[in-house]
Amino acid sequence: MARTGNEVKEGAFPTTRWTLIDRVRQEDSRGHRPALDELLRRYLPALRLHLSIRRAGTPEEIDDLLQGFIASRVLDSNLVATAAPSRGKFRTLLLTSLDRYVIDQRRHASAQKRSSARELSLEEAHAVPCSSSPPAASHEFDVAWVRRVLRESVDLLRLECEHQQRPDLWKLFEARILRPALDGTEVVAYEQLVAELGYRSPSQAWNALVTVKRMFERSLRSVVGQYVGGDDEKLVDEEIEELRALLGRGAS
Amino acid sequence: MSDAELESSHPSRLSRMLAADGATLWQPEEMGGVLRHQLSAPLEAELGPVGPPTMPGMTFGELLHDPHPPVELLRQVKRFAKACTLVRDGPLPPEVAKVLYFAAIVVARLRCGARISELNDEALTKGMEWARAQKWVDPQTRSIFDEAAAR
Repeated sequence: MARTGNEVKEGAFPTTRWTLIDRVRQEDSRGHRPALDELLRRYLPALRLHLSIRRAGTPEEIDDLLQGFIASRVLDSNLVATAAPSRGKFRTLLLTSLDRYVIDQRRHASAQKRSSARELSLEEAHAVPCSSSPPAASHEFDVAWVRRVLRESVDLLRLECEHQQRPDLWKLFEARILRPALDGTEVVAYEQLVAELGYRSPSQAWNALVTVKRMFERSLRSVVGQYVGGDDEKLVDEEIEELRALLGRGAS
Repeated sequence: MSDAELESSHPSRLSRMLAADGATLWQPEEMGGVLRHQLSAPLEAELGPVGPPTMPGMTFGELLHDPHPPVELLRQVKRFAKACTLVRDGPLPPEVAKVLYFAAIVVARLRCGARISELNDEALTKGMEWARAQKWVDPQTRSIFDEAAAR
């Protein structure tokens, strides 16, 4: 028999208040960077997609650019140390810095070619941006970013359901929210779901849904808080609102 | 959830996840299923412990079709249902709660000869007609309203 949502203990959920960025900074000074690895693992796909859309090169060249960017700007120039809520969004900082890095790399490559007395071809000239100000983030990058945030949030929720030994909550979330959002699957019929999960009454099913929605919201806030500054609820609210708007733009 | 599934999902659908707080359990086409579930639920699941003369584990449906239902229990069902109609996205869809509400009032009149509501006859008749018109109401519950309408 499934437990009611009311039995979920408040505070059992890991409401992490640290920010990943702070952890990266701290661990940098000790020479350990697991938090940085985590940060990059999460958001490299979005950066890779951004470069791919910008036609920055072949997949291998894009990987080289990303590796160079991480080594040069993220590690050596300590990009993370410059990130602060007051200086704008972390994802914007990351993207702007990447774009500048790519521009620098291309200029450097062009300069080398010129020095070897070769004229810059028209094609190459187009490939090098004239302005030092990088283009705005592509919509695709933004959407890829949101996808990563959602991925992390869903993974966190699943772990939490496991931790609380509430597989029913995970199934309910999957059937009524996750699957329909992922592939447009019809929601699992109410009667089938409550029979499968053993809910005695509509109230019990409703309590479970309310519980899992709250848990997901906390997961989302935790993930977003890790890169916008988890101590500032207002910043988290603003970022979630912006993520929602970004996806909404994709619908138009 | 695989990365491939996530990558291929449409942004507009994903945005519903960010608005998950607005997700409801009830779909309009599921009213019948929710009502059946409610009628099969034990009274104590919603009303708390209920003592004699009720049989332990008696369900909402059994109470509504009992030839001699305790009028106090019908009052409690009515109060529970009314509270549900007042909450948006609450434990019961308002439509289902309304059917339960009118059923409790009508059964109290039919089986106990008691008025458990301040509704006047016109309002009660209007409510019963509305409930009878709902296609998702099961035949057994509908028979309560049919019986009242025939009197």
